[in-house]
Amino acid sequence: MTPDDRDPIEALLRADARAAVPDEGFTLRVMRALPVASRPRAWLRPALVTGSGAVGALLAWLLAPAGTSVVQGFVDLSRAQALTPSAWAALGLATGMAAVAAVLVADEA
Amino acid sequence: MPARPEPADTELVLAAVAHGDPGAFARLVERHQSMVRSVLRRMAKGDHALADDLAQETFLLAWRNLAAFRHDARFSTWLYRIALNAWLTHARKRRESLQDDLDEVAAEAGPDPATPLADRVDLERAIACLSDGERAAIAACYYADLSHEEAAAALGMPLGTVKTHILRAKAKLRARLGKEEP
Repeated sequence: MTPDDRDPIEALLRADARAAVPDEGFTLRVMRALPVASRPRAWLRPALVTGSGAVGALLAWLLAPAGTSVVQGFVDLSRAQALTPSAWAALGLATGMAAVAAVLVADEA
Repeated sequence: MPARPEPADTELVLAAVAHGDPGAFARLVERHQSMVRSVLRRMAKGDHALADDLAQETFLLAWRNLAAFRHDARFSTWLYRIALNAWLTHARKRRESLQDDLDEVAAEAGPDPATPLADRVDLERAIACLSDGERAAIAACYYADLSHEEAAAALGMPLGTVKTHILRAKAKLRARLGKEEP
């Protein structure tokens, strides 16, 4: 037995320190008070990329020379008539969609 | 089937940091709430509501700064330091300080020598009558289970001052509780 063990104050302090404080809902209280982690809005980036692509396509359609047709462009491309305005429009649309798809795939990865 | 061993504090910290796992943090709170609340109850002179508010603040700060926990110290010691800082911030607001006169004793009712006090409630009251420095040293060395050296580092006091605080605190407690020294 050490002198500390014989000291009633020492023993009282040690016994008091050993006595556990009952939780009584304290942990729950703390967990409820934790700040909620802000979840990144997963839909936002794809929506922005797709929206930008759609706006670009709309502008291209509005500003395209009269008589330009994307469908005709694809027909022209398939017939190896690559330099018609419609063919350029079809190429632009295809490139834009590929770019959007690449961004979305990269984002997903 | 043998029971799965309890994960160590460091494993729970890593799980909470790496995966933002609130369940792991809840385990840490469950495990250490008793120590943190005990310390703060002693520092708050037995004001349990205030101590629990500060304990909650302690764990919220711990959650926010969990990634900064260095695994070279015990998690409980790290928590104790946060709790102490929470207390000091609170005390500063109330213009209290650990630098109070060592001999200052709160002007509360003195003990009745005819009725020596012995139970825990009386010990809590007696501790509340110690100076801030003495209370802090007692809370650190007994309730947070720090060594004198760890307490000195945490409290920012010389080791000799911590030992003096402990000796004086025990002498005062002995006098107040009517316990004779062996």
